[in-house]
Amino acid sequence: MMLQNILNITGIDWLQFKTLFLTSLKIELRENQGIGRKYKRRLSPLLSSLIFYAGMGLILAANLVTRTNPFMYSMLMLAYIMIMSGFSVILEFGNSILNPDDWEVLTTKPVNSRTYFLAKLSNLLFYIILITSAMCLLPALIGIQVEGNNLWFPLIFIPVSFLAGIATAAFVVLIYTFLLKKINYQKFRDIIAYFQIGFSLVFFLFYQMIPRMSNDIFVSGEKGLRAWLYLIPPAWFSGIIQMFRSRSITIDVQLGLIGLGITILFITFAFNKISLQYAGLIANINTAESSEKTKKPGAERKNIFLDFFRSFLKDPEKMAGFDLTIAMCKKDRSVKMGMYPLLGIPVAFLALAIFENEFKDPFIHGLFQGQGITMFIVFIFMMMYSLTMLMKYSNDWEASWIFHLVPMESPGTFYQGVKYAVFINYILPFFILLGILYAVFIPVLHVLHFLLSLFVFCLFFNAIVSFQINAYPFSEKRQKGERMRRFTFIIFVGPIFGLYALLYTYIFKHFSYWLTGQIVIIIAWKIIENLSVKKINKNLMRIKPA
Amino acid sequence: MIKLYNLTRHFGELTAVDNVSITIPKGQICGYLGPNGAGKTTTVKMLTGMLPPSAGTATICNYDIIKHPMEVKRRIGYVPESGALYKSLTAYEYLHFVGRLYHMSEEMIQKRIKKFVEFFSLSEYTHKRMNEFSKGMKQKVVIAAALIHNPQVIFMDEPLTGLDANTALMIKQLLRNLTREGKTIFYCSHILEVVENLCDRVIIISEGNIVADGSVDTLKSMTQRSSLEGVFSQLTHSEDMNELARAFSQSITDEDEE
Repeated sequence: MMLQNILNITGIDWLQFKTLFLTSLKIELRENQGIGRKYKRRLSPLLSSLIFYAGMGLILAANLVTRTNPFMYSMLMLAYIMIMSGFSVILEFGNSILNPDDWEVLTTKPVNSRTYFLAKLSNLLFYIILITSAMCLLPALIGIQVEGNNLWFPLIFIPVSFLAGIATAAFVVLIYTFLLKKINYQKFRDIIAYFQIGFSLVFFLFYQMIPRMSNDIFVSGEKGLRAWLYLIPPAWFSGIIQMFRSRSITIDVQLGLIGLGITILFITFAFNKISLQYAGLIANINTAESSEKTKKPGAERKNIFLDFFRSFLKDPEKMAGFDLTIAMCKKDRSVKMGMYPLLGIPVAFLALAIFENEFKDPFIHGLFQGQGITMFIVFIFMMMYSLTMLMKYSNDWEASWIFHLVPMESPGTFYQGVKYAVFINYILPFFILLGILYAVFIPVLHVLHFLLSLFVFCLFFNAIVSFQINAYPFSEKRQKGERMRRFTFIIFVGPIFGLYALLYTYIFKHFSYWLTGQIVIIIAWKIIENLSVKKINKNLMRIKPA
Repeated sequence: MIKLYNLTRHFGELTAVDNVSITIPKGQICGYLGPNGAGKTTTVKMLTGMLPPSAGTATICNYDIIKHPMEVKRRIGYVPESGALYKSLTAYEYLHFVGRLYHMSEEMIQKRIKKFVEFFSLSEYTHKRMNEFSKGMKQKVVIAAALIHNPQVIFMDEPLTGLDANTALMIKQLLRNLTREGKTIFYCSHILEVVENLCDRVIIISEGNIVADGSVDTLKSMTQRSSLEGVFSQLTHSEDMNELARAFSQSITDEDEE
């Protein structure tokens, strides 16, 4: 009752708030369950995301527990929580706060801007609390073991983690709304899509570098970092935790007060400014969509690179799959948003390989030259798998009725065109980048041998994963957490591909071994590819129109 | 009841609605016609608060759409062309959700939901999720949601899309009865026969401008045409459509024969 009165005083309609919040949660959780029987057999994407977050938190906490002091442990764990909260708002839950679908249903209803904003923000915070819980519970318990912490640590760490997650989400929302006031929504979505490449690069580099740096800098050099702590947001929230310890010092209190102050500032600003402009902002999203300029026919630029690779396709169904995929990857923002986070990760591994000086001749040193290059190669395979699987998602999924109408003889052949487009568009540029980097350090002929062997294995691997294709391209709606599930798969299944590296360690010992290896793999690829086409035909012809 | 004062909307360089001024009195069904891209939906979106006008304004039930949007929204119902609704909800949940947003009492919501689902023959589907519904069934729910709070002004954009002939007939009769009770209906459609039979008054918009406004009979005598279709063709410069269609189909047949 008291909450209701407070909300009414601040101009928020309690009844409408409650209705909007509960209904939006119900809708999202139902959509997350998916439609149809096939989703019931596997974990919901949201649940697999939570497992991913908990797993990553556990690995990081275990890595830090014996190496750090209470302040640094909390700071690094909170850095992880804040980065992942921000990442998940951008990747998964941004739609909770800016959903153009609400426009036609809700804009004509008598709901004021502040009520609408609070309902959407509460929806977002619900997910933030959920994922923050997954991230912080195990590290809170492990943190008891950090020298200087005691049994009370979890009781302080958990609420501060929530606070840090909420502050981060509020910050991202403020940035979103600020950007939306300045630029068109479609440009905004493009920025977010490209931002994901940079973000995944930074995140994976951070994930790789933390264990390397923790010994050198964070433990021995904490004193040297002191001046910088005022600029590091996780340090502010770590300061709040230290304020509750009996042995806190002045800097802890100062940092803690900065953390509390900034959080209060964000929330006050969100309520006073953004909430009043929110409904207008949602209307602008849709106005931008209506006013987006369309290119005149013939204004499309020809892409000689793609035309060249397209010329190898002779089968019309394969060609149709290729053209559709190229067009959707270029034009459909929902497809781009799904794929771009993946593209930064191999670049992060290449940066790591450069940092660790790993570019050595595989014919002399074998393929297994270091973590960066190995992970890059493994990730190239995983990325090919992920991108091929991602091709089934699009916001225009309802248009997939066309696949059930046209007299398509072999969906498997059609899908070969899709896979070819994915390879040309997204994998080949990484091959070229890797080739250029290697060419700086080793003879070009060896580089070509190396790239050719990678290419052959890519074909082989792609044929194997094709057995999993169970939907027409762009025919399903993405679910929240789907991307994180794929990340989870990549993180946990990745090491299996170490076997590939081991195999190649022997192949690269002698040219004749190498040549024999390639021929064997090409034959195997051809057989498996033909079988996978049959399997895709069987899988897709069974699907009934939605 | 509905008054538009020089209502204008630009999208970049395009003027979708250009200085439109209309007055629609209480108890009238006003058909709003025009070719694709003429500005019909943009006009409705401005009147329902979905798009801010670039210039001009309008009043609905004497409330300015810019100054008092909440008062306007309390008094209107809207059937969008897209038939947008939350398909993951059941019909009952969706109608209940809408009723709540209009601050209807629980008792009233229950009573109205019961009446609407019976009227639309949806009783056995009330508790099924709407993503399993046919297009016509969803459209019935959209119409019910627009009317559940008994609005004084109703905006309808192609409301009969996907409905079977019997339901369409029922809705047309319902709309006539509603106007008799004093409701005002702003009816956008491409189906000229329906507009001709249903509407007291027809407004034709072309390229953002009003090109005709009057009863069907007035427009027929003004243009010396025997049907609304003829009036529409003449006023929207689409008279050579028959010839165009004939030439097009002939060219396709010729190509196939070659």
